[in-house]
Amino acid sequence: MSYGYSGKLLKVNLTTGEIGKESLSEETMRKYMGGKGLVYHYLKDSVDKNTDPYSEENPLYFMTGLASGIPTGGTSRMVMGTKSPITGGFGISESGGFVAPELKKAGWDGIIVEGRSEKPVYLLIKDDEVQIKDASHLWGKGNGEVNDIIKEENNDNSIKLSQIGQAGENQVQYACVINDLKHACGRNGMGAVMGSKKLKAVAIKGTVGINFKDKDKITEISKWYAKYQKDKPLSKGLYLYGTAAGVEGFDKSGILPTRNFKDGSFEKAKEISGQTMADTILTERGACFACPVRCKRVVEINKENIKVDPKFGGPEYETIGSMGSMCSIGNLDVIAKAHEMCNDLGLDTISAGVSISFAMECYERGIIDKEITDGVELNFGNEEALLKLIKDISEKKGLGKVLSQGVKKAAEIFGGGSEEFAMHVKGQELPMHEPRGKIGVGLGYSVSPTGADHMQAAHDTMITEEGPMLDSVRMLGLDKPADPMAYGKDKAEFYALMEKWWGFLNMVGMCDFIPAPRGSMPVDKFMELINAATGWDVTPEECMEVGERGITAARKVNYDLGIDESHEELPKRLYQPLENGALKGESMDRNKFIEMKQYYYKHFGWDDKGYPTEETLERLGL
Amino acid sequence: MIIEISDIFLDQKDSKNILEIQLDKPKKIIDILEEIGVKNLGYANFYLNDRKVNKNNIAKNQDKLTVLPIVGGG
Ligand code: SF4
Repeated sequence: MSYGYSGKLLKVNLTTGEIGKESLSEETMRKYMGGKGLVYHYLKDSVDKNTDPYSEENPLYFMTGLASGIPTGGTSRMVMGTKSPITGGFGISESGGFVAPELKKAGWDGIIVEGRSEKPVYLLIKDDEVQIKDASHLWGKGNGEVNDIIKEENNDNSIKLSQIGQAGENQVQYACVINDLKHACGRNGMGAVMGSKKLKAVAIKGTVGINFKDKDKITEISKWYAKYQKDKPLSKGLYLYGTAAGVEGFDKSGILPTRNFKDGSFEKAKEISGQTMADTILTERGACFACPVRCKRVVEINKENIKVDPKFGGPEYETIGSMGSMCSIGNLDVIAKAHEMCNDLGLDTISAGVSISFAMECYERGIIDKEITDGVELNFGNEEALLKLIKDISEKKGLGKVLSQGVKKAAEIFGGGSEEFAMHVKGQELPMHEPRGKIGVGLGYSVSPTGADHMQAAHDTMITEEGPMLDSVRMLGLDKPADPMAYGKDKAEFYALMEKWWGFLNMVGMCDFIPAPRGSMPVDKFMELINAATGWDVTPEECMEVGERGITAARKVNYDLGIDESHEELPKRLYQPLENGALKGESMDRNKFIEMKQYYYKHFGWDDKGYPTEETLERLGL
Repeated sequence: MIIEISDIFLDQKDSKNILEIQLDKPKKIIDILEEIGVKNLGYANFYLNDRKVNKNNIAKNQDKLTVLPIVGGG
């Protein structure tokens, strides 16, 4: 008998209508622990260089991890996977919420979706009763409405839902998958692939439950953690002000991406901060499954000119940056509206915001004009234009059609030197973290298998000095703090170690706001939790190896798909000076950066082109 | 000196976010904060007169100290 996971994956073929199951051995689960590890395990033999991401040959995965569903907090993560239409390589995107725990409660560790349906469908999973249901009446509708209809027609308000909006139906490259209206598998184009399969939603109701080895221990740790985290500054900050608690700090430090990464400081940072949100439009502090931290926001606006429905939650830091400071918009009401629209239409707020910001810069520089913008004065700060473009992108209409392909493609179309400030890596737009003030984040954007991504490793502003935070992760092998502005071997090692740890958290299904170093749960306590769930004897060393395996596996898939070192270029703008803020004049040093990347490759046992050596692949069982 | 501090670092519910204190001599930021009872400073960034500094920098009576959290994501 397996504990902490069921040992089975649901397998659905939308072309043939077949519904089956795939067994998951203990050996495989111990090797990968879930998440992107399982994505690798199945994706590696399913796609090749020639696979069109929108074809029926490209599978789509919904994977949980060993921790998903343990009722402690942070244990909510789901990882989606596919061949990404954005990067053409190993694609994953993770989300919190309730879908992963519900899927596990239904007795499944994940879902493998193959093929493509002729007509719109949705998947209804009630434990092991699984149906492919007609969704013709849902096609063309937004996530909010579809959520209500599916719950109503199945007479069950407690169903959990992964959905695509019109952006996914129209295969907008960065369409995302929205979970229960408030959480997003935002990146890498999961919604576009789901749309190409004509799969409108996955609706889940689980009643079987998860079999844990030591339930008493889990209850003990859960109770302890709920109390312990309360007065810790991070938990407190997240509870009070959400992920946007740091907007003012980022701004004062000169690392708040502003006006398409031209600037590092935004004059209206205070107006769009988590603190202002708490004082104005916040109505509730929400949470993912069983989480006492409650960092999720719920906002509501009922003004004559702007209304925002609380059922879509509220904007997080990434959305506030991408729709706010990046577009020079200092109006929280408008940002909340943009968030609501993106969640309803199913658009990644980061890529959408960066694409619009890019277009605003192109307009201000005269690279595009009113003929292209459909008469709109597309200057930075134009609130109406922001909201119009979100809609147009989801419908692939006018300028929105160009921007729906992301900034890499848009720069090719616009020309005029705009590629210099097209802020992407491997085709994926940069998240709201400024590499010129966090050099390790720049390394991360470059080497990440999924393109620019802030979720790969702890950022270098996190452990900048000796003290409790460094002490909390010494057992993972980290023995030095990081200077955010430094390059070199130490920085490469800091990043690599933290990437292994966060890689493991992704695989095991844990939110990185909970365990050390970012969160307050000590590493050994987290090990106790995993072992109580599984009955295993997992150690930090084993977890670091699992994380390393996930990173190397993703790299191997990418190289096999033709995504190699030549795709690791950072946007040229990062080698140019920031134009304002505390870091005015700072730019990245390309030679030092390339040298640091070599240290990083060496750390992992990859060759100087970044490909894992035979010895490394063998050591990791790949 | 004036100290402006995010309430996430304040343990007491009635603590003030903005306070003015008199220093008898220039001191390290970390010592000043400890004297006013602020100890739990994980995720804090320190700014003296709007310039980013670290907790061991020396502050003087005429300075303004700001303490803000650094966290992002989502
Ligand atoms: S800390 Fe926030 S994001 Fe993480 S599980 Fe808890 S509520 Fe969700």
